[in-house]
Formats: sequence, structure tokens, C-alpha cells
Amino acid sequence: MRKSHLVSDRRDFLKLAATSAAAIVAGNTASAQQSETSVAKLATDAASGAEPLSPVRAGSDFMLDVIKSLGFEYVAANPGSSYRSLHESTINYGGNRNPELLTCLHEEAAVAMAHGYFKIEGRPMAAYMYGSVGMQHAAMAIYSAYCDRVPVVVFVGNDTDMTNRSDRTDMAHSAQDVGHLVRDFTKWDDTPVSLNHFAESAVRGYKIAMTPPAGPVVLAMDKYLQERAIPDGMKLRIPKLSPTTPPEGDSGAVAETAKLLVNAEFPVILAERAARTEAGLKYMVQLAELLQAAVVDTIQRMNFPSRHPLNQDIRVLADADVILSLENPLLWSAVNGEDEQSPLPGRSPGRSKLKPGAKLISISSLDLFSRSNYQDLGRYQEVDLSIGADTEETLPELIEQVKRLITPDRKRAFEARGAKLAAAHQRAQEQNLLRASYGWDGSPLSTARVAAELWAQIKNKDWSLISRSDGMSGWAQRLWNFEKYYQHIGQSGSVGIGYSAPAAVGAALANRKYGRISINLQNDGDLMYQPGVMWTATHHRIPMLAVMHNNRAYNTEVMQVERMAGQHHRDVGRCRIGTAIDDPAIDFAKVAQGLGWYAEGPITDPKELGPAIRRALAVVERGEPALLDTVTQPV
Amino acid sequence: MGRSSLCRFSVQLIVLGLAMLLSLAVAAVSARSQKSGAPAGTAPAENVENGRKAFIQHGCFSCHGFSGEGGAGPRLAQNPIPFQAFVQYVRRPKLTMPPFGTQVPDQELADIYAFLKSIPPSPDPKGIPLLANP
Repeated sequence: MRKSHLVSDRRDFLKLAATSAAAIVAGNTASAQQSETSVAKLATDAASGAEPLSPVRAGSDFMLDVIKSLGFEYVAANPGSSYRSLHESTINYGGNRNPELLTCLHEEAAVAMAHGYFKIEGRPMAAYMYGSVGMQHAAMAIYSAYCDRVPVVVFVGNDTDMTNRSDRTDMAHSAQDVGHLVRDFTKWDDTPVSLNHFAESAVRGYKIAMTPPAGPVVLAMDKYLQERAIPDGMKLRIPKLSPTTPPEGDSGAVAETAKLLVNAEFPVILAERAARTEAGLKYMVQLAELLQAAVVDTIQRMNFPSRHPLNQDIRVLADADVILSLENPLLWSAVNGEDEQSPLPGRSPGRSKLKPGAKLISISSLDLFSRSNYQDLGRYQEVDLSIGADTEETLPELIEQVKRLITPDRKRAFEARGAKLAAAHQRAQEQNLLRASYGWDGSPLSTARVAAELWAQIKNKDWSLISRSDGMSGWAQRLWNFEKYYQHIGQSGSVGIGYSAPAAVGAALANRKYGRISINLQNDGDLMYQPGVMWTATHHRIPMLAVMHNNRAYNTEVMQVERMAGQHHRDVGRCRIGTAIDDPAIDFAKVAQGLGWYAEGPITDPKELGPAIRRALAVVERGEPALLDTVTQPV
Repeated sequence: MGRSSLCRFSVQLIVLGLAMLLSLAVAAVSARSQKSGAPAGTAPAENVENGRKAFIQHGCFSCHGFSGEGGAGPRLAQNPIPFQAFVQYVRRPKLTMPPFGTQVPDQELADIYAFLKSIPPSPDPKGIPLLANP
């Protein structure tokens, strides 16, 4: 092994780079000639060396060994000098496999891709991050992952030792405490000072990220810890990953829950992030069917089949005598409604939507971890029984307890209740179909028609909706038959714009190896935050179909500002100033084509929609991304 | 689309609430309009094309769709509530709809009303193959 220290090589490199740069900046021919002479001399010196150069085992090689030991399939990254050594180790030492480096054009896109990937694959994607500037770009996406309880493992390069920093870039891109930037919305972070410290913290970080409630973690990597050669004889060790079993609810509390549910006249299961896997979805169906209980799914995860007869509208909460809330940080908002008499709609103290005496039970891992600054936990809701546990881990025991308590009499009562709920579900479905017909032939396109035309062409394929199912007025959720866990990925958690496009690309990447057709209902405003992620999809051959909800505005904001104009008795008609995206109207087909996608549009005639979907799906089935720019109704 | 947290459920509730309030408003406004001498349920002379333009100009389409087929707000097309109730509701609505007060002149309201009535009926969902067996 080569013994010389890398810093001397780096000094040579910097000296040469500085000389060349000075010549270029000054536009000085003499200096440029001098620089060329220096280059030639260095090249001659190198060629005349008697010994061949043997590979250096750098600190980043060991770091990569650690990262590989954790089973990452991909690492998403926008390149940056503070992790250049790990970058090089990943592609050369590691052969760019497990993890494979994904070229991202923005750090927010990198983390959001990791977010979307997890929601399909159930395993985290790593992200490499460039010091202070990369972390600032990534902060919003890390916040979304935090709010959505999604594990993302961020490795951030940082030039910790000021005496090693050589230029303006090194200075501006380093931080005293690089994890501090995002500490309010990560589960854990660390700044290792040795390679063995890195190994322990990486394994610990992965374990923490994956333990419910899951969340992002950040590991700082000193630039020179990465770049320096590993000293001869240094003993390095990668600890074994010991995954933590998700916390299960206390057996006594679970038994009490079962008793309340079985004896209830009208129990309702309110699910937010209840199912973490396909198994969780099956438990949800099993519990609901045993009890013939109504299920209200807030669709933050694929908690319950959309066409199951027990899937009900949230209004059933008003009839409930027992409500079982699962992993819901916004329980207060779910069970309290707006006070209609309030002079400031939306800011009222609220009034309970529940029947007097209704019992509230909560099973939530969110009770086991919380941060202070960001307020995604919602308002405090009093409950009758609070079980701090992971829902999916607790459901099997709850199901067993419920089974033990069901008597023939109760079973008959459950069946009668189930029949009424099935009838209500059927009526709701018929209403949906009637509403879907409104404006069916209109232009701009009705969002219901876009969803229906898509459904007709994917329903017999193995499909996955890689965007929120309540987008486009929830028409996908209302018209499509969601029954498998991977068939939708829920929402962003933070309700922030800019998540959807990159998360969809990450989810589509996860779907690729299973041969699924990935469908993204893509909002126009969201796409323009990270359009570069389309290039990443092309570059990495990620097939997906993006169908635009192109209403040429941030329409929710239009409505919000209109509401304020009305409240202030001023001109409601001016509220598209600052909210519309229509002058010029963005030609999304051209944008996508420029980034290597097959694209058609703008499509404004509903009759053109079906054939366009057919052509685009053929492209996707060939393994390429495609986009249809469908100009839609506002909502 | 925007980032604000107008979730699906709250929108549905708002729509439902609006629809109920609109129907309640009909009776109240009929009584008021009779007091002022205007015949209930009638509109001034009207211009459909001007109504379409005014519907867009005043931002009505943001919530109700370009053809009043509904969205975040209720469906208005084809069979709007009686004209006087309509006027009253636009001027002083309940819940989340912005109160327009006197921003929209009577004539424009009449035109918008005519526009909404003129929108052709949507096809029967049973006659739409994509909805007949989704």
C-alpha cells in the first residue's frame, strides 16, 4: 500500500489549479504559457517515475464499506467537493453498485426521491449531501420526510478543520455544526471524528431512522476523514445492524381496546399512517371485517382498499360511540369542526363533531418521539385510552383479542351494521359517478375525466400511483380500485410544494424492478420547483407516466387570497395576481421533451385524451418516461 | 395546485355546508325580495356571453370550475338556486366563500345567472362507458 499522505498530492493539485486559474482570470498570455510549461513538467515527472502508482485505500473506502453493509440499493446526490472522496469511492472502489449513484440536479430532489422510494420499497435510500449549501437546499425535503415519518439517511460532507480550508468555496460551504441546520426535524444526527466512530454512528443512525416512528437522520463526514489514506495497521470494524423491533401495545390496554370495540354500537377506525407494509394493510382489513366497523382512511398511507364496503366518509365520525385512531398526529382536527358562527372562518376554537360520551382510543408511535419547534403534531386531543405503540405491530394482538370477545349475538349485530355500511358505500360510489359526469365533455378537461380515462387503460395492468391519491379533487381515490399496498404512496407529510415530482421519480425507480406501471398525477406548480428531476428520470431510465393537473395556477392559493379579499371587502377578481401561472402558459410538453421525455400536449380536447394516454403508456412500457400536458379545470 | 391544507375532507364538508345553506337561503331571500317589490326568482335582462366573461373576471371559476360544474365549491351549472337567493348568497355568503358585497353589479349577476342556466346538461353517467363500469 502506498504510504504517502494524500495531502501532498492535493497541494500539488491545488498549486497547479491555482496557477491555471490565475492565468485564465487575468487573461495573461505569458502566465498561461507558464502554466502550460508547469503542466508539461509535472506530466514528464510523473511519466518518469520508476514505481507504478498503487491504489490508495482512503477513509471514504471504509465509509463505503459501512454504507454497503446497510444494504442501500441507491444513493441520490448532487455532486459537491465536501464529499468528493466518498463520491469517487462509490463509483470506483464500490463499482457503483449497491449503492448506485443517482445523478440529481438539486439536493431537495435527491432527498424527495429517497422519500418516494421508501414508500414503495420499504427500505431507505441514502443521500449524499454537500456541506452547508447542499443541506440548505435539502432542508425542505428533509422536513417533508420528517413530517411523513419516512426514514432517509443523509451523509453530509463537511470541512470541519478550518486550517484545512483553502479558498472561498471551502469557507462558505463549511459549517461548525452541519447537522444543526435540520436538527429540529430529524430524528438524530452525529458528527463522527474517526472512521470507527463513523461506522458505529452510521449503523446506529440507520437503526434509529427505521424504528417507528421512522424519520430522517443525518451523519456528517469530515472531508479529510474521507480523503486521507487509512493508516497502516489501523483496526476498523463495522458493527452488526441490530434492527429494533417496533414497539407493541401493552397487552392490558390492547385487551381494553378490544372490549370497547366489540361492545360498541358504532365503532369507527380512523387510519392515518396505520399500515407500514402490505401486512399492515391486511391486518386493517381483517380488523374492520371482524367488527364490521366503518373505516375512515385519511390516505396518508395505503391503509384500506378504496372500494371496500366498509370504507366510509369522515362524516361517520359523528355517529361513532367508539373511535380507534391509528397513528394520527391531527386527531384534534379530525374530531373537531369549524364553528359556523365564528367571525373568522377557519380560525375558530372549534366544536366537537362527536356524539356526547363517545370514547376515543389512540394507538400511535408518535407518542414515543417528538420535537418542539415545528408544529406538525397538531393540537392536543384528549382521549380515553392512549397506547404508545406502533399500530402495525399491535394489530395482530388486537385482532386476536377481538376474536375472543365476539359472541354470536354480537356477530349478528355486526353483520347488520356491515350491511348498512355497505349500502352507504354503494350510495357514495353512485354519487361519485354522477359527479364525475359533470362537465364530462368540457374544456379545460374535467379532472374526473382525466382520472377515468387513465383508469380505463391501467386497470388491467400492474399499476402504482406514485403521487397522492387525493390530487385532482381526489378522483383517483374515488374512481380507481386501490387494493395493494404499493398502489398509492400517500401525501408529502409537510403539504409542501416541490415534493411530488421528485418523490414520484424515486417511487417509480422502486417500482421499476417489479415491472409496475408508475403513474404520477402531477400538479403544474409542484413540477416547476424541481423540473430537473425529469432529467434524472431520463438519465437513469426510470419509466413512468406523468399526467399533468395543469390548471395554470397555484389554485389553492388563488382561493385563499380570494377568501381574504372577500373578508376585507376588496376586489376578489384581482386574486390571480401572484398566484396564476398563465402568462405565458408553461408548455410542459416542451419542458419534458427538452429533458429527454416523450411528451404530448397541451391537451385541451377531452376526445384527444384517451389516444394520448395509449401512446404514452406504450412508451412507458418500453422503459421510458412520458408526460401528457393535460390542461385541466382548476380543481 | 397549491400547498395549503384544504384537505379533501374539509373541502367536502364545505361543499356540503354550502349546499345546505344555499337551500335555506332560498326561503329567506324570497321573503326579502317580495318586501322590496321585486318578483322572487326573476332576473333582469341578461347576456350569456357577458355572464361567462364576468364569471371568469370575478374569479368564480377558481372554486366552481369554468362551466360552474363544481370543484372546491358546489356545482352551479344548469339549475342554480332562484335568482334572488343567488344574488343574496353572492353578496353575503356563509363559510368559506368570499363575500362579494356590491363588487358585482346587479346586471353582471343577472348575466352570470343566465350563463349558468345556459350550460348544457352533463351526460348521464350510465351512458358514459368509462363510468358505466369503472
